[in-house]
Amino acid sequence: MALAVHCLPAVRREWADAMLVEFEAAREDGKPLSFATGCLAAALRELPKHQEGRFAIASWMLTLTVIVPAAGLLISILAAGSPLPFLNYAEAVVSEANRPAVPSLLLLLFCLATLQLRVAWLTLGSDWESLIPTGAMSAAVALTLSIFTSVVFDAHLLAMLPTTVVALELAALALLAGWHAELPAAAAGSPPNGR
Amino acid sequence: MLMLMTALSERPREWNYGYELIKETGLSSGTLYPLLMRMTDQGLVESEWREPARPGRPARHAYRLTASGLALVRAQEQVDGRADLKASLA
Repeated sequence: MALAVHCLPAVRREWADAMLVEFEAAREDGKPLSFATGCLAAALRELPKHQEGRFAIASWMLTLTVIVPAAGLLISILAAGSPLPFLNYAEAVVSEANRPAVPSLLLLLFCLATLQLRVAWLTLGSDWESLIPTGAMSAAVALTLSIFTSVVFDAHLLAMLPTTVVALELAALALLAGWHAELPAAAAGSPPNGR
Repeated sequence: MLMLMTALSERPREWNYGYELIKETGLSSGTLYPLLMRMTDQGLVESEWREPARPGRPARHAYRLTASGLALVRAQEQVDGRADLKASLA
């Protein structure tokens, strides 16, 4: 029920309250699960019909198709314990001379992965105030990583990847923040007991 | 939608609660609530928070047909009546 209520846009707040109250009747009748499942289905069907719902879908899409996969790629490199296979695949120059730089590269990858996960969390919560410094840090680390990979490992094409992904991500987040500012405030219509 | 409107038209002046409508019509909550939302948006159904019959319980959201909702049900009943008559004559 909590998920169903959360999925309903603010303009349907009154209906979310109505569902919650009727859930008690369904529970007393021994059918809470089917009632809650139906409410969740109804709430999900409502999502694309309202600007707020479309915004939520866009936030989830950006998070699940760009930010989380980017973090996942970084985490998979970290989990492998070495970026060498990845660097070899990208035809980077790895020799005894630049091998000592690998721990520094791993540290940068760890920082970027952590920041990406935080960006994902803040995006889903529409916490734009916290996203500004986190996004700026993410951009700084991505740029550092790009320069580092390009200079130390001579992998110019690979070096462009983190900066490009983070730049696209931040541009999309800026658009989302603008959209969020235009969303209508929560609607009226709550029960008389002020729930 | 017709099933729900028919159920609501049986007691046009009375307020109906969501879970009672589910039991009466056999619709699931996933069907009932989108229908009620749409019908309220279209002005066919009105809703209000009603004080509970039993003290200490929360207020419940209740529904009934508006005048235009009731008129739509009556018009549909007339159309169905004519269709039934034609079928019996054929």
